[in-house]
Amino acid sequence: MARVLQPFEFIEAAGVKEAVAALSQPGTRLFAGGCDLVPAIRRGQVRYDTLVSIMKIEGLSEFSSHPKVGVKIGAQVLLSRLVNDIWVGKRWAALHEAVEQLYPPHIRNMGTVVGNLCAAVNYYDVPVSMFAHRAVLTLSDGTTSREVGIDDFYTGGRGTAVGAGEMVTQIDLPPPAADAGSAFKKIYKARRRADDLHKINAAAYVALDEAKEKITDATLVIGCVGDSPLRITAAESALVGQVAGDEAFNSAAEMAVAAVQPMTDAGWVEEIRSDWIRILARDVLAQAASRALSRHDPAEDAHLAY
Amino acid sequence: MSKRIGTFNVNGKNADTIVEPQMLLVDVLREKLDLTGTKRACAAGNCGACTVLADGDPICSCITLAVAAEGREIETVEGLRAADGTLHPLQQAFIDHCAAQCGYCTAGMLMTAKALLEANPRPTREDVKRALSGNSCRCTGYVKIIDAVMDAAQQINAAKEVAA
Ligand SMILES: Cc1cc2nc3c(=O)[nH]c(=O)nc-3n(C[C@H](O)[C@H](O)[C@H](O)COP(=O)(O)OP(=O)(O)OC[C@H]3O[C@@H](n4cnc5c(N)ncnc54)[C@H](O)[C@@H]3O)c2cc1C
Repeated sequence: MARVLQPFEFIEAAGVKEAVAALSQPGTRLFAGGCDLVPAIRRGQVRYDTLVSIMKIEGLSEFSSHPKVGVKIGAQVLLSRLVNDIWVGKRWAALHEAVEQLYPPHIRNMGTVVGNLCAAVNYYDVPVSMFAHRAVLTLSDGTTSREVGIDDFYTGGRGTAVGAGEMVTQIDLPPPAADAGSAFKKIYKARRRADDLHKINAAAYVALDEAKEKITDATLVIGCVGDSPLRITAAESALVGQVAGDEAFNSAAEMAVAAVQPMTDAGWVEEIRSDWIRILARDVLAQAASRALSRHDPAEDAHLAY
Repeated sequence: MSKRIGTFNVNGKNADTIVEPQMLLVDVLREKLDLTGTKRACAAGNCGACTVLADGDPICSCITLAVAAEGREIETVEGLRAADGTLHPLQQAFIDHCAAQCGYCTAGMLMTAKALLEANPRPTREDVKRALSGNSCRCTGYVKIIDAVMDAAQQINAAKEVAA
């Protein structure tokens, strides 16, 4: 049989406690959809003696979305579950776009949302959108759980805040402000040389005041420029109080360019990188703001309140 | 769980075979169950040649562990034609439109298209393009493939109307 994987054991855990207990053995790793793990094992990048599947654990498949309550995504929820969700599309547009533009579409039927975040791969799209929506992850050891904001989730390299004897059980996205919008965009192309620029992705969240003129809150995130998505905090605080328009967005885009450290020695790569960051930062902000403006009267949501 | 007998529900029938945890679904289908219609090409989930349906949704069998597919309803290209040998309208349309050249991507194209037509019986060309965006073809340039899927959709809908 051609190209088999290195042998390993496969355990289907029945509960969170059992799953994290199994992890105490060296060479053991949690397994969800396997989209990240299986190719990595095949390439020989990682080697495990035992994979512990979490897909049979009860209570981890919860998914709900409500514009006033937020989005809840259990650890078994596949990416495809988000694509046709009406509220994710309307109020968590950056997340919707990140998943909708995920290529190839088959992966959406196989990979989990949580697995995409936990893989801690710096060019993935879903984490960038999760930064824009200020996601909160629930980490559990089967008895007690704690919450970690996405800002504190990535710890450098491919490390995450998931400690020994813990797993992520859920992601929560807080409800956006009444007049808020978000957007995600990416630019990518085939890499022809090892030092070629391959991809940049970006997401933004913009909330407007009651007059729908001035920005009251903003998040701007750029991905593929470090170990994990980078929040452009200087731009975020500069945007607050400004009129939502080209001037504000262009200067925020310049701040994004300035905030990203040069990554290669090749001058031409840096030049393209700066251009891409500038374009993406400006466009996600402008689109997020336009979605905030075009939002229908919040009173129309009244029937959805409790 | 190491080496043991696994039960796979493929094309509506249960099949028992020896599986090990590290075996991939595409290998079990091809090597153990003799269902060689499913192809393996990039082996990394990028090209769609290995597409099979799991509970109706297209997945890449080249990066799916076989043990994780147990208990799911798997459909492969071998299950498309009817019991009496009549080709599925998609298969017939691919022939009529010459939508295959080397044929290596065809099984994957057919399975992804089947899932599309089940979810959306009246797709636009744009819907077809989007659905097939994870299935690469290096011969045809896609035009005839899209023509074939559009035609098959019409055939299926026409047959349904006659039956109703
Ligand atoms: C061909 C291909 C194309 C892709 N394209 C894109 C793209 O365009 N954009 C994009 O954003 N992504 C893309 N991806 C990434 C894909 O979305 C992720 O690999 C997938 O979502 C990971 O989820 P999984 O369930 O398969 O995780 P697994 O592979 O099972 O696990 C991934 C990692 O997360 C850990 N893990 C899983 N669940 C938990 C948990 N509950 N708690 C703690 N740790 C956990 C595992 O131990 C492992 O280290 C692509 C992947 C492939 C194979």
